[in-house]
Amino acid sequence: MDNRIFLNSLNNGVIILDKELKVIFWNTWLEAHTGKMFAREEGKRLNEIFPEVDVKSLGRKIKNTLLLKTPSFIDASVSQYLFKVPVDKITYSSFEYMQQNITIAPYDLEKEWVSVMIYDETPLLEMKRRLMVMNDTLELRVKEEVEKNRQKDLLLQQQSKQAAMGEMISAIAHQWRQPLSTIASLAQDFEDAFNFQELNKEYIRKNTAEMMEQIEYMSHTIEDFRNFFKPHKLKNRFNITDTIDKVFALLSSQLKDSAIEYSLINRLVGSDEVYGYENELKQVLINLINNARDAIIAKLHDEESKGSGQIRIIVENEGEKMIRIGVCDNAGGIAPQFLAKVFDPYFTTKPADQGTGIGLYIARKIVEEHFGGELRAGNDELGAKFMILLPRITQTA
Amino acid sequence: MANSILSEDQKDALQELMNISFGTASSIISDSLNSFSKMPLPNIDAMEIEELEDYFVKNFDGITNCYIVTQLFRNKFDGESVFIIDDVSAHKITALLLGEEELSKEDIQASVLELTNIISSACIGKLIELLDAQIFFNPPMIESSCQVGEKVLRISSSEKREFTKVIIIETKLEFENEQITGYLLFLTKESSFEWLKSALDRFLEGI
Repeated sequence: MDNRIFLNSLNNGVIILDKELKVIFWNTWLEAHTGKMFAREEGKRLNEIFPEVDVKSLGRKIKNTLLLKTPSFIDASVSQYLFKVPVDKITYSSFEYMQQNITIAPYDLEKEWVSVMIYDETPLLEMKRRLMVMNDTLELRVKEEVEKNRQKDLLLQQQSKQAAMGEMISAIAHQWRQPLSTIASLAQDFEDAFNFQELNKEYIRKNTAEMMEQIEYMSHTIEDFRNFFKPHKLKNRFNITDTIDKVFALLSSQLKDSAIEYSLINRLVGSDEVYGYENELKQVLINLINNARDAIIAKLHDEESKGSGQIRIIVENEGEKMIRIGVCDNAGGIAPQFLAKVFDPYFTTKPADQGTGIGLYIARKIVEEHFGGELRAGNDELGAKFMILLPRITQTA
Repeated sequence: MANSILSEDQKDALQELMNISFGTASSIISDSLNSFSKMPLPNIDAMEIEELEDYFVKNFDGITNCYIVTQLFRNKFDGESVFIIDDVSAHKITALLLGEEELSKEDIQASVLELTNIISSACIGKLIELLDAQIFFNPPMIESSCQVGEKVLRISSSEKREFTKVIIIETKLEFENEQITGYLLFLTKESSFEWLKSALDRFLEGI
């Protein structure tokens, strides 16, 4: 052994073994890492020094190395170690023992000696293990975030539906105000008629018929609202202009009370049929009309020019395959700095007690995800203009 | 396909050298396993790397999970060896080597590494002799539960294109009741392959 100085300078372990596993030499790296001095271990079999050594497997590899004159390898990620060297580390390590990559190479073929080179792979495998754990937790975290987003969307949809319900109840109150007052005055008439001796069969028949007419109107109103909130399980083909008429009918009292004129301008050529949940589109239209109404009220209140509010819904062709529904008001439009934000959840320009900021967010989700269309916000010369683009059903479809 | 890149004579010479290697490998394996095994003469093929995918489609039909061991060897003969063994064969060889039936994934991986070491060392050892050059081996790497198709596709569509030629050595190990099949591939660079061809020619001249 005339190369001890060189072998002792190496930054990895080197053991020279004969084919009986007897230690011919080991370098100072081994001494430093195991605390066992070569001088005391020389000539002993490796398994006498380290009882955990798999004699059968190592012996076989040494024999094959000498026969084939090529190196044999032991992979740390598969076999962990040849012998136990505790990981002497103050900071945390998930390994108890040093993870060793081993190369067994012919050293002296005549004497049948091999060199067993030991490389410390612990840091690398530590990193690999941490990466694997991170990969696993990453997958879990992505799942959690997706679920959180789904829940958030569900909550938003629920809030939006509740807001729509609130608006509907307010609309019912408006719708009923007129017939209730008519019924009240007809009821009072009975007493007056009796006092003035005008109460006869004809009077009762006429008054009762009129009251029944008002009650029937109220009943229809309830039916319309009930239909609106009844969840539809199946998508259907429906006519867009009929839907707009129904929405105007629902909101007519409120719009009239706010002195807002409304109109449907149908410039569509060809079919006005679309496919989806009609009630969802009604929800979108009600939201856009209510926003327009609120904007008009705010503007008219400021300018004290009551009576000039207008909401127009214009239905047109958008190419051959789409229908464009423009919901326009004359309230001066959306401030340019807010145009990009109006569809963000919880964004609102309304006072805190009036706006939740979720209506337009949900409206766009409905149009895009349930109808495969688009909802855009913009302004024209009079006010805000929201455009709903929906795929139409052509006659051949 | 082999004819286009190795002449019949060169292929015969390579076959002869590999027969000797397999004889050595077979005796070492028998000795290691304490069981008589024989390795029939290997089928040898050589092809352009682009043809590898077709070869595997034909030969690996129905085989899904495999162990794949890759190892780089460096010097004048530069390349990478790839040993592919299906998981059934890998399980059988480990059971024979350890004499146990209940095997961990690590047991199987260690046995496949050992088997690969023996076979590829025997083959490369013979090439080293032929080429009269020293070759340096990198430690092997094992991947388990690999889809062969994906791996081969990765090899053959490699953008590096450093490795242009493939020598395929189909290995079979026969025991009394068991047959274990593996495939050993040597992927070589153009220059190394040319060097191998001239060495085979010199070997033929020397016969």
